[in-house]
Amino acid sequence: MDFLLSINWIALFALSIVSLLFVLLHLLSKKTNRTITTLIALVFGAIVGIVFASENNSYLVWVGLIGDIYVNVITALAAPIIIVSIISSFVSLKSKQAVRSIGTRSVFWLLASAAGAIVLSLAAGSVFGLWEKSTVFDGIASVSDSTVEAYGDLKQSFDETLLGLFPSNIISDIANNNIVAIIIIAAAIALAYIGVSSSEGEEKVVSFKNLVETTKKIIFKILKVIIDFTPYAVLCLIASSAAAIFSDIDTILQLLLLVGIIYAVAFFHAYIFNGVLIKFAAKLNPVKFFKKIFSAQATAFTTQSSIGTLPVTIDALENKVGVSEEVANFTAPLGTTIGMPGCTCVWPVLLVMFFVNATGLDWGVSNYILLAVVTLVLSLGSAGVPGIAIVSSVAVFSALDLPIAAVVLLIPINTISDMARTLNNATCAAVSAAIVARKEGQLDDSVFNQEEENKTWQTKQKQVQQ
Amino acid sequence: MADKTKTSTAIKFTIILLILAVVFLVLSIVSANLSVSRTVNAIDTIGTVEFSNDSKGKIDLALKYYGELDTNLSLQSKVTNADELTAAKFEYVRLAIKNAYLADKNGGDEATIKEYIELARKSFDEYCSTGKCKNVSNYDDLTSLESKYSDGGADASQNTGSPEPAEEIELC
Repeated sequence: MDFLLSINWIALFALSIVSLLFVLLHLLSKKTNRTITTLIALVFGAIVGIVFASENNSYLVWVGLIGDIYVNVITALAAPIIIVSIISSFVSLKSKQAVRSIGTRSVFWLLASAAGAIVLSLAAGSVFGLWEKSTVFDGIASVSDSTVEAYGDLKQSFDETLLGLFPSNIISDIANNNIVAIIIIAAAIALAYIGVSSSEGEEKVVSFKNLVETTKKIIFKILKVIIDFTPYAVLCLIASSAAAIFSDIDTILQLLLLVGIIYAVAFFHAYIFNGVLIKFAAKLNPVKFFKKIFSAQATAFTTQSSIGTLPVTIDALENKVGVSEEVANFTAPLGTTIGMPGCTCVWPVLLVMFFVNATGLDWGVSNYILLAVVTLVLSLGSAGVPGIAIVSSVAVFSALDLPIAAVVLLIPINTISDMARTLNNATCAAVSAAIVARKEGQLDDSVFNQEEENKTWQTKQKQVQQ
Repeated sequence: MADKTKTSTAIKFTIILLILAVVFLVLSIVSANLSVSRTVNAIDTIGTVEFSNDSKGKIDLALKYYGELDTNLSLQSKVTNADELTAAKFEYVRLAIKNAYLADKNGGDEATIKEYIELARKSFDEYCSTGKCKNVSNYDDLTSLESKYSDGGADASQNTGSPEPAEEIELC
């Protein structure tokens, strides 16, 4: 009897139901394209999450594990992809000027998008008046000193943030997915290659180029296989998130308006603000563009990891939007560190405005300008991993001399908000890449105008096998 | 031919998954019911409470089973004799306090009395959550003994090892 009672049978029941849904998704994938399959997976996942909502997600422990494995595997590919892609593409540019131009434009558009998110968040916070009678912070004194101290340790000063962007140890930078450092390392290798190649002749270094090209082919082959699993992972991840949200629904209901506004601002920025940029700066059809990057958005929404989404974003940019390899592999990764409007702009600005209004602090225009400047500066460097929004908000609260305990009280809505925020981050990175590609004359309109995925997965797999 | 084989494999796979789902569902229901009956039986086994390791072991086992019941399915509410478990806990604490009280009354060795007092306090902290001390009829005896045997004799709570004794004493 003890054996029977020691096993979580409901978790196994949930796993078998999800496996059945996998079969259904597999059958659907033969008849529909990946976008539709991913959308259906989202719906299936939400239903599973609501049905199996439980304390500590105990019923979805195995289902969640499948999703986590996907996130880990795809995150593991991020650094190798960036390194080989940047070296490979910059080597083929054969010009330091082109590298500089792509770099400057990328930083400009990513920061422009972040600035837009800050303005939108300030406007939304003002329009809605953000909870002047909220009692959420009544318990602020009950947050223990040790908790506040632990969160306080998360914050970094601006000079520390800047220093952290540069490589200090190649191995640890790669291991920690320190994206800007990885980009710098890869770009330095590529520039050195160009230098040696032009001074001593390409034959001296061509074997290195061949090695990079071969490695790239292998890594992208692995990536292709992993990306095919996206809908299944989406189902598991969304089920896990939905269950976590529904098991703590009372806390979320208390802050429903805040969650609603975070979603509204994140989605408005992702689709309307970026839609305008895509239309006028990249000169592309926004609806078609968003349809083409949907797989990246769905991955971001469910994995809540900008770095984990990166391989999917790069794949969509290159193969569906028509962004050149050079720009896709430079701007999109940069967007997981610089900008990140959802996590480093929308979230901290709305939290600050919520706190200021709820506690009745007397803030003037100068305070809001300072908030905007501090947020923009901090958005210059942040890691694209789950939880970074907490670090950003702690840094903003600390810089504005507001109590960090207020951030702690709002953590219950972090997961549900993180889904929309990460979608916003991934969209912003993709949009910036498309604009940079257009400005650099590196956007292939014939790829963009191709009809979306007429071929089923089965046909594609046959092609891969051949 | 290859497509036919794939379809056939998919159907077989689906049937296996369906069977597994039904099996796991049945096992979920069975194990939920078993976990309730296991707890009920463990509580019944406690019987007459004594101040002994055997009695404590039975109470702890019943508490362990009770704690393991799935709260998502509200299984704890299905334990028909849960009140007996609560009563057994309070009775054990009462006996522990009585033991210390009698040791003091009989004028035993001070170290032994202190040990009994500590044991009684430990039992109280383990079995009586904050504010439940009213259910232990001789709780005042424990606080008196703690005052009497504490260094300086002023504040009982300082030497008891209780996490929040001041709050609990107030509630009494």
